[in-house]
Amino acid sequence: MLHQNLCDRCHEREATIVYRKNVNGYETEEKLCPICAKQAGWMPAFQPEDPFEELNELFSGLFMKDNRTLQGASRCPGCGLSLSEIKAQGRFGCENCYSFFENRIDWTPFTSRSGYQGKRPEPSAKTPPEQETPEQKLAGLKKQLADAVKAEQYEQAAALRDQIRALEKKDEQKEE
Amino acid sequence: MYWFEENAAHPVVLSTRVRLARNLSGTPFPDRLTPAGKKAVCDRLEAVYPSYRRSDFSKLSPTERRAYAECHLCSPEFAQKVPEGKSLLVSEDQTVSVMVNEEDHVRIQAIRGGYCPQEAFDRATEADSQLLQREKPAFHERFGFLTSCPTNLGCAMRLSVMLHLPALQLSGKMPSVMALANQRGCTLRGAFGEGSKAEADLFQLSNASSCEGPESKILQTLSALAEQVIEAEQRERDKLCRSELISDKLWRALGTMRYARSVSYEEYRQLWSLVRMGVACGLYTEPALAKLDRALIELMPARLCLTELSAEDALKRDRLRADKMRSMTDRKSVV
Repeated sequence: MLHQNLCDRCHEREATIVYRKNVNGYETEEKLCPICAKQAGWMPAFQPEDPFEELNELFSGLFMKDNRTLQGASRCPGCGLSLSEIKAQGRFGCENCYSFFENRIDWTPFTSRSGYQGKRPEPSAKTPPEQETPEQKLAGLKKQLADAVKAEQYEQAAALRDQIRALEKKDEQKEE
Repeated sequence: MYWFEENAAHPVVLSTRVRLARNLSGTPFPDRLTPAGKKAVCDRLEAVYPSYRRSDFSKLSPTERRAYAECHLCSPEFAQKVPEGKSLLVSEDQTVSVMVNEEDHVRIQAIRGGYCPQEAFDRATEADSQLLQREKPAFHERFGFLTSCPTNLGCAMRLSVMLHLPALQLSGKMPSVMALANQRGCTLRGAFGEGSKAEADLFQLSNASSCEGPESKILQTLSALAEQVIEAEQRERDKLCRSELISDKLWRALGTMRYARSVSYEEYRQLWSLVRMGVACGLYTEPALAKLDRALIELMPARLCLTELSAEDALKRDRLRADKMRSMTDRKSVV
């Protein structure tokens, strides 16, 4: 039910690179995360600019100790649950889980094709997030990320980084 | 007044209830809360509903907790599992109950006797507004109200109608009725007890999903289906009552109810169902439907223990149940 696009080697991080090999007509395909790709000694011919490379490096240093690189990034910053734990229990731990794992779950069984049309709570006095433009939201998140790194709150930083990535991806898709 | 004391006297429907699941924004769901965190949620909810009577579940005995589940003021799971950090708030008129720290922070439930989806919905909405005025709920533009279990997402509403379907059960038509319910995005299952086995031929018909939202659509779909099932049950009753075999069965049940000296809960449920069918079909007029509906709940094990101290012992309880059952048939000459 829950969908994960995980790295074929570490099975922990999200796979972002597809490694295709053709040896004597046999084609093999491996989906890897940037870190495993690097460790495998494979570098892409064209390396897209990664604004989080520095942050990734920082994490790999931090979490290497228990051999679970980037552990922080795979856990919800609100309650600390991982996707596999949520999957096992069939329950989410807090409201943040939903946005944190939004892109890694197949929502078809739980959402309607026509979108949510029921009751909405009345907007509170604070600025509701839906009034922000995507650019404003992105800028806000980037600022929060910088603050989090400064405050050494790496779990939160990783979560923010993922949110920024997701937003940027959305923007790209729109432009296409 | 509890729903079963309302004298609704609907031939097929015992109760209608609407349940809404809500979580407080900024607080992890109950599963991930510490005892102190749960206590804080209880206090916040108490402040939302100051006029409601609060029962701290960790201070209640298992029997007291079970009694709440028996009269459907809380779910059986809420009564059974670890009671720490849970509380139940009940409105003054006893139609609205709020479970705090079940699977979600808040489960609002409005329950009324008889068939009244709109009324139950209005009561639940009223209690919901009271909550939303004071507390910011966990809400997501795409998913709607956020719940611990993703199957409850959306408007997080469940509308349930408790149906007494002895005739459909006797004629073996329940599987096809259940299939019809599934087709319409609804579920039909036993109203008491675990699993699909229906005690006393009582079934709960409810919407299976609330993800899309419009509460009005759920009301509409479920009401239409409920009315269809009610009609089917009544048609089947008319048919069965004409059969000598069935009418004999119904009269015998009344006889046992009038003269038995000791009755177990299991036997009582069977008798109750047959006698209720007999009354609804017009075979006999006493005991009245309203009286029967009230007695269904009042003679359940935990409720009986709470009203009569002597009922702690199972055998004494069976005797007491029989006494109460006989007095219900209203024949002053037979005591």
